[in-house]
Amino acid sequence: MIRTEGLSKTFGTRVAVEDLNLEVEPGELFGFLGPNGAGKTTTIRLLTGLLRPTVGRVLIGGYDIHREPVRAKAFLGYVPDQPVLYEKLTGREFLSFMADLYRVDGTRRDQRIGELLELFDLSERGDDLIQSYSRGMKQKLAVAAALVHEPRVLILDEPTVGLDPRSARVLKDVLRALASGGVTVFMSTHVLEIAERMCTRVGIIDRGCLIACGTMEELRAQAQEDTATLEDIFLELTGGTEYEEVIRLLGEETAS
Amino acid sequence: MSRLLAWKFRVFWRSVARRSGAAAAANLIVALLGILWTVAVFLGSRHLFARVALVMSRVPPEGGSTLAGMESLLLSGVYLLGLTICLFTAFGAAFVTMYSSSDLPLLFAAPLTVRQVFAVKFAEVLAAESLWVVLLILPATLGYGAGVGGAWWYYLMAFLLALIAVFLSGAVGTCLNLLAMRFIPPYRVKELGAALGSLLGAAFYVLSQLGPRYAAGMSPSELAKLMGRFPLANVGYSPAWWLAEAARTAAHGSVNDCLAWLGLVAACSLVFFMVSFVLVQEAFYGGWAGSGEVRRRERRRKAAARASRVPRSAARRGSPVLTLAAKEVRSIARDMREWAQALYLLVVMGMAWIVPAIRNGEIRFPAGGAGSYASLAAIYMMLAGLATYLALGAVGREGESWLLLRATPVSGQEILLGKVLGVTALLVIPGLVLALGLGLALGGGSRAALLAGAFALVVAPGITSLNVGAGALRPVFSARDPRKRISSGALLLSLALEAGYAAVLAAGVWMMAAGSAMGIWIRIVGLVTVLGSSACAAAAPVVLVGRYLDARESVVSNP
Repeated sequence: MIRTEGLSKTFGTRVAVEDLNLEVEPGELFGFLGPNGAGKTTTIRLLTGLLRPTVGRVLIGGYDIHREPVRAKAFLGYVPDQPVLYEKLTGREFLSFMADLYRVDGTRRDQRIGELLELFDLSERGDDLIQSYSRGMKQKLAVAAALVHEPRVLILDEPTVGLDPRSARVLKDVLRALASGGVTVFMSTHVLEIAERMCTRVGIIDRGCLIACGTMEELRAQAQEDTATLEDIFLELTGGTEYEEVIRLLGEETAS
Repeated sequence: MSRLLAWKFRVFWRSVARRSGAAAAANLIVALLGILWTVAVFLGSRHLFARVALVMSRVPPEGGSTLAGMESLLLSGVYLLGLTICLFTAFGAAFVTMYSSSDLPLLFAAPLTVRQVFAVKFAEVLAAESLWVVLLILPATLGYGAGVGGAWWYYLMAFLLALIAVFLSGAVGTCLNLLAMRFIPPYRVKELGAALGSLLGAAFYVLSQLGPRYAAGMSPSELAKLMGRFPLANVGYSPAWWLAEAARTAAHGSVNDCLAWLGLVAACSLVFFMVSFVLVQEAFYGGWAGSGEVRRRERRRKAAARASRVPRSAARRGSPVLTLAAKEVRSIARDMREWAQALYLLVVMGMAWIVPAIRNGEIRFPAGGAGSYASLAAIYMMLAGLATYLALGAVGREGESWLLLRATPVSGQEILLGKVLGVTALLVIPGLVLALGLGLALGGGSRAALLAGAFALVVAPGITSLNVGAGALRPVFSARDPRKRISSGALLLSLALEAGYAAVLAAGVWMMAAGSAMGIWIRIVGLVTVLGSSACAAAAPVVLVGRYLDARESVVSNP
């Protein structure tokens, strides 16, 4: 459902993404990890057609997102890293607006909007201007907007940031349910526990290159540690273990 | 608390004094201009009231009471103007320092009582508005004393009067915040502040343009008559009148009367101050949300329940273009800043037309054919001015939301068409009102009004589209203020396109008007020119820039 072929993106002389070959199947919940500035958001913007690849291509549902953007984007639901929405619309109007952009029709439309507002605990404030929402409420509304047209591919950039524990739990359950229903979920996150528990496969990107990709078992095998957590594997692959000694020494100094 | 006040002053002083280069020079220039302004107000006031005193000395005693009233009216007018400015400043300052201030959590977390924090904030409000007292009320009062020959103690009273004026405006302005908190949600405070600022600016602009035209050459008695038309300047319950009476009685040697009038103003100030202190600080501590939000939510819920009772077609599907147009209309219509700014623009443009037409205190527009051309030009300029403001930034206004919009299966052309339709719908309303108004005002009758209305309808989509297209070529997504999301290049391009479109339209209109002398065909060519150029102006930017948007990356900032 999501396929990248030799995908590269450079900004001037800086390589943001290099030769990314990835395939995510229907029903998969794919976790995309990497340190800050590794190229996660750039990859997501390439997948959603917001950036043009320097080399390579992106296929969504079999359509090249840059050659046939309207057809490819019709498959997509996208949750950006910043929930910047139209402040002067109400929550309900915003969902209706998104439904129109995705050309949603049928009797389920209003019902679907009502269900999503209910699901994310927004029905009471659904008729208030988005301007009055907190960051967490905006994040929930952004997720609901990505689901309003029942997408076949869902791409989320840091979706749990700003959510309260209940909404984060709801989101995780929703993502699991969508994946089991055949929706392809591609999610970038810094919360490794979520990725470890939820994702069927995990990809780790560092300095623009995909340095590991597979199920948890495959990653453990790659790291040659049977009991390693995703955090251990992530630090091993992207660096960071060297700081452990410094932290230990700092702790000893403080204790003495 | 005194330490806190000292720190506040230190922070303020550093923000003013510790500036280098151009900023320091600008501060110095502003300070010098302030001093010059104060001196000018003092001299102007002294001159005016010296003339009044001269007139009074030449009339018989039986006319003296009328002239005494004239003196109070003039003085009351000055105080009314000063107090109004101070009140607006105090209201705005209370908005900023008491509710939008970023240091509130810090101060409330410190070992200070709410009352102490409130007192510090109240002092900030007084400091903010005292500037106007120094620039207007105090020099005018001193000038009055110098003009009528007040005794030495008059000048001490003048300072006391200025102090009481600061206190009165600060207390009333702070109290008004309590009302504002009841009705304005916290997230709309800044928006309302900006809107009020624009409206106030428009009012002062009108005053600055029309005032000198009408007031030039007026005698003191005519000026006093003009002041008499403002109810708050000449009634016994107006603080402006009380201050005027205090100054007048002091200047004429009656210290007891002066103190009585000043006491009345002080008592009034004290009442407002007490109300502020008792009521406002509670709301201030509870926060904006704590004071009026519950009621507002109830009202919103009721409105939502009413809306849900309206039957809606369950199987409807909105076109993306119309949805985008509706979103554009909602976004602009619900933003008070947009309305206020548009009104400001209309006022400025209106003044540009009205002021040159004023002759001997009357407005005289050109009549006949020249009047018709003038009305068409006025309609075009008004639409172009509003479009520069509303349409040029239509894409830039999206800000970070642009990414979300571009991730949807909607083409660039559809996005631009939606924006053009939405903004045109908003532009057409004032365009038609102005067209009908000008058509009737210029004596052309209903036929001229209808023609002008048709002209507005024909040109509005083209003007909007040219601006939306120019703005979409290089939008500024990163500006925090949506009104600043226009690049200078886009502005210049839109002005050039508007000028070109205006030239073609002028040629078309000229051919249509010249038709009777040059045959029917030239009239048809003129009509085709007007309609054809309008269709091109409306369609071409949408098609061409829409393709350009699809061909380029959707970024909102440089990576």
